[in-house]
Amino acid sequence: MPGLLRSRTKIAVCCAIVVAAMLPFVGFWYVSLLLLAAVAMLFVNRLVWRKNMRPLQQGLSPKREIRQWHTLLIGITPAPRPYGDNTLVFLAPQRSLEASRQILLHVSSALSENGNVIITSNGKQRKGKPYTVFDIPYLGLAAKKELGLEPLERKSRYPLLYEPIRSVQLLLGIPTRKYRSCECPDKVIREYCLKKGFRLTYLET
Amino acid sequence: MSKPLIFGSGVSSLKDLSGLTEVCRTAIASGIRYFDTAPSYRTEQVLCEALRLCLSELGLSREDLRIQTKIDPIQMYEGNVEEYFKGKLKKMGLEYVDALLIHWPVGNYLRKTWESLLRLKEEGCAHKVGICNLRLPHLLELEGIGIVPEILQIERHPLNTFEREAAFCRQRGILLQDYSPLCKMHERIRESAALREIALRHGRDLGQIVLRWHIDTGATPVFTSTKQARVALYSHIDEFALSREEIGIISSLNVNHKLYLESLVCPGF
Repeated sequence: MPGLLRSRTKIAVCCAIVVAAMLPFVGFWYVSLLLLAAVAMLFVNRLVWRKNMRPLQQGLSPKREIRQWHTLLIGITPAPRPYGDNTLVFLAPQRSLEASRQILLHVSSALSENGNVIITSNGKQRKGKPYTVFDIPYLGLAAKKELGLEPLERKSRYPLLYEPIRSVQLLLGIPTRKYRSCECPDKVIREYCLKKGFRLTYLET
Repeated sequence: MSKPLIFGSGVSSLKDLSGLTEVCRTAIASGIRYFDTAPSYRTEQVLCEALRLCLSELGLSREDLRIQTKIDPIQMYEGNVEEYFKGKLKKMGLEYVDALLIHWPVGNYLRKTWESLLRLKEEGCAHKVGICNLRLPHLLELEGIGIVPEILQIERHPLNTFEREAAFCRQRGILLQDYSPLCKMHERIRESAALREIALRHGRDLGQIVLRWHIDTGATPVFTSTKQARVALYSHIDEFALSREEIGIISSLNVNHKLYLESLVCPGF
């Protein structure tokens, strides 16, 4: 647990646990339960956030290991199997094709020349809100401003609070799905992959 | 004569005036005359203030220095680059910069921003204009539409030698500047037996050998340090040269590794 929390948060959590342990002795057992529940939620939120950030740190951070990524896998969970060792994976529950497109445009520098791009989708349009808190970490400042995503940026550190069901799905996984290969309906993705020489595979449930 | 080095005040640089003044003083006293900054580094104003203090102490004038800064994506997005930059010059206490670069070539805004830079150059606000973080396909595409930077600043080091880009710049007389020239002393550089052997042969520090490689391959390294001793040490890289064989050995460390991936800032790069 300590490895997942920053130092100020660690202190606050430790104090909360100590207080929660003491409160039942003065009759406030329900407050104690609430405090413990809040601490647990904070912990789970951090787990979700770390899981979402893992590909960013693994594949895109300046501190990453030197490694050639031959495949980018972007889209919805669960992952289609198998997809090879040198694959950088950006999956989130119910990610829209529009969000997958933006993520591809933002992370493509990580892919080696003539690499592979696999996009997975459920084929449904997400009307109104194509972006979720799980997409925000991969988008640049200008893109966030152009797309009006700044309010979502503020929420992106608390995925459990703003996307509780998808957060649980991300942590626990969802049952295996069958994917079928077809032509990618997103013209921007098709043309971008063609221009860059990437081999594009589009999989739909 | 000034040293073939640029002192960068990037994100890992000192931000306090007294510390930065000490380091700048050492740099200038060691013969380094070229200084680099950018809005996102949050060092533009403090660097200029530090340099002003150093100039008066060392009896030099503004014309003895080269100061360059950049236009960041946020300014490109917001537009009004000319108005923004003239205001920035006032805040920096400068009448001009020696070079103004586009920091990240964000596709949708690049052409318009480049035209603004050319106008700023015409008005004397910048003596040279350039672009950072371009690769060969982008350079060729831009050349096709009449955009040829005077300066190209890219992340370049022995783990990513960008041979094609370096050749492109050599052929067209474009000044090539290399940032992160030591690749943050990555383990592959730090532990390289070949580099250590070359350093031993020349009686030099490993960092000096790598910085010299930049110069011997036609580029100017943009380095940063918070330590005066290191700044002074690196300023001595014009006292030796690498042989063709040594340059080849260092270049062979290339694994196409980039610290900073361009598409993260320039989607669709």
